[in-house]
Amino acid sequence: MALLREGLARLLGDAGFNVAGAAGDLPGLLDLVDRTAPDAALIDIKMPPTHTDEGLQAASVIRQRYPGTAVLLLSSYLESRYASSLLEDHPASSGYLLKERVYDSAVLADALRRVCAGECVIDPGIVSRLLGRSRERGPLDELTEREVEILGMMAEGHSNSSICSRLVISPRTVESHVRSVFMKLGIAESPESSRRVLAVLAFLQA
Amino acid sequence: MRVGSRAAFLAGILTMLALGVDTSRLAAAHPGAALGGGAPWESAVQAGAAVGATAAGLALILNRRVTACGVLLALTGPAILLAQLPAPDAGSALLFTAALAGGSLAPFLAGSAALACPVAPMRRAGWTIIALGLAVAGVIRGLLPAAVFDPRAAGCFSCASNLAKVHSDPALATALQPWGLVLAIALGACLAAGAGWRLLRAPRIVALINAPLVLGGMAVSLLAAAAAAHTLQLSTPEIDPALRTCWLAQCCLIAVMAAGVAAGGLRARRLAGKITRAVLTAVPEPESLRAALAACIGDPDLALAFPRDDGTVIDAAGLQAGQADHGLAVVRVTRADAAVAEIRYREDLAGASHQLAAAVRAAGLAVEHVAARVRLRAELADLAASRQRIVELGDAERQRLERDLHDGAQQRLIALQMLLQRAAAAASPPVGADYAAARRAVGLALEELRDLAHGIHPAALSDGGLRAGLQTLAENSPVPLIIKDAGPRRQPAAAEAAAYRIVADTVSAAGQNSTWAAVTVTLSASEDVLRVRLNTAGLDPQAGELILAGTQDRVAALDGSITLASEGGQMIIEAAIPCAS
Repeated sequence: MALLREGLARLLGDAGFNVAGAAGDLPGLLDLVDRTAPDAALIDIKMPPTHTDEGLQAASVIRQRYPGTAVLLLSSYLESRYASSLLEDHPASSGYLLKERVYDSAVLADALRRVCAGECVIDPGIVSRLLGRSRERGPLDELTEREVEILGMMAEGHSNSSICSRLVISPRTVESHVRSVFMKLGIAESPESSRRVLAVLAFLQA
Repeated sequence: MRVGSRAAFLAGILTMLALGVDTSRLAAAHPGAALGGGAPWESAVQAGAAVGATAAGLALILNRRVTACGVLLALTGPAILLAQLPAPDAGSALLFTAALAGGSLAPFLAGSAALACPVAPMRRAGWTIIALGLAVAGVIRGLLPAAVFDPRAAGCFSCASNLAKVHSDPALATALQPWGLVLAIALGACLAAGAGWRLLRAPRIVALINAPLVLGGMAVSLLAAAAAAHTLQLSTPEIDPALRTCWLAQCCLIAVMAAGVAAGGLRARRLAGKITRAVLTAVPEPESLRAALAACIGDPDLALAFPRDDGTVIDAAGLQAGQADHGLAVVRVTRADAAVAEIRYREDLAGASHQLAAAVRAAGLAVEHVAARVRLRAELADLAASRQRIVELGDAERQRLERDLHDGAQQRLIALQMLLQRAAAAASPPVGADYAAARRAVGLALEELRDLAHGIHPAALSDGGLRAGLQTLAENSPVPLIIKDAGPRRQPAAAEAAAYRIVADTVSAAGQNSTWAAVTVTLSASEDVLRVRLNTAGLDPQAGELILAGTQDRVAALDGSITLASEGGQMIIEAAIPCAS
């Protein structure tokens, strides 16, 4: 664990981030966040003492007590349940990334910047798995293929401009697709950012 | 009764019969000279009482090891004959002397037998009363007067010689007479009171069985006291009609005592017969055998215990049952020197133990059968527990492996990825295709490792419970897996693992079967049983059998059941998994 922690700190340093500190357990982490008030905390979901989901609890506590600190949860499990329970309680400024993504500093840096910007980020692996799964008929079946694709990219944390550059379509087209997604999922008028999160949650839990 | 005991018993009875006939003949030849004789029916009552008392006493000694009571009762028989002997014409000097010395013993021996009857634990006071009573009858009213009595000096020239005579002192003999009578009154009353008190304190069933013996003995003692009081009032020592009637009544009562003992024996034998029939007609359950024995001895808490080969003892239900508590009597049933069972009952019921002994003899085969059955059940329960432990151990081991893979190998591979990344960033000239291939290889290794770990044990199942495990399964499922969950959040790990395995096997079978459109799993829990119901939209009995074969051992290890049925084009797999922790 310490090996990974150190490697990660050096990697982030190389990528231009300022690493405020590293901690080995929940009290240490909370203490560190309290002292340094960082922009983001990168948390392993497994922590002492039980090594199950202490990281999830830590993320929840940090989002509650230190609204200025975004959280990015690292996990070994390609499962939606941790991501969805994280986003359910704290939809903004939180993310869930597979641990093995961290070797790619570009992916990690991108995810960190996006949670710091208040968005929610879900690992592309989980998104593609959810897109590919078999399930009962539900509201998601009302979406066109393109709309599902765009919803998946929203879940990964992409902004509208990022989506239009990836799909090579015009910003107006993306906006109309996004509006259509909100409407079909029954998400009422509310600020754009929270509607995006609600749409992603609907996607995770469908 | 063994052969030797039977012979001793028969010899005793025949001797008493011969003596009784002879005594009756002597007494009849000299009417008025002794208590014996009289009408033929009177002779018959006396001889019957004598033979009966000895027979009953011997039976008690030989059969039931009730020694003190049996000895006293057996001695009552000869004492009756002595009392019957006509004093002057007893036939020989030996008989004459014996009649002089032991003529008053019979009622006191019968009363002592009643007091010594084992209806309750015997105290020292009881033995003291018995010793004093026999001393008064045998010494103060027997040997002492005999020692100073000279028949010639008293004017009886036809009398045989008194072998016990030390010196002739008629005055002392006359002086002793009232003392002996007063003491006889007191001790007769004491014997009756002691026996009555003991009978009142005995458990009901014991009192009931021994009532004829004890009540008869009490009445004999009281009559002895009354006879002594009557004699005290007579001006001259003679045998008047009142004394004769009293004596006949005592003989009748002694006959009743003997009959009571015989009836007890018959009752035990009848019970034995009843139990034998019950055993022959129905193979008894441990509990019904226990209940039969409990009813027979009158202790509702009577317990059966069965020793096992490993030295432990189990009860009829197969549970551990330590050693017998203090205050319990234990009867061991053995077969070929090996203990088969123990019967434990209240110690104060030991007076009814001959009943139990008879019942156990009758039920011997049943006890053995039940013991074998109980032991077999206990072994099966041990095996079932061991099978469950093996399954649980296997699960725990899989979980440990999964964690080791995630926390060990996976962390190292991720660290390797990072090192590769750093090395590439620092390298000059820039790295080539080999580097990219290495990174891809590590990425694939990570993916395979994750799938492998998940296959060994789904972390979601142990961390989040059955529902979380099934949701993860649904995310990977080749067909839609619809989860309807009404169960509580968590169940014992083994039950969750078994339920998960059933659903996982069904889902993977569905993936290989194009006719199955979807799988619905319904979870419910009630009364400590987790129920899993799977509906597959599509039929394939062969696949169903395979799912059953793959999971039923695991379900059975938890004492659960799993069934397969088809209904309206759907296949239904239902499992009930006990989850009492």
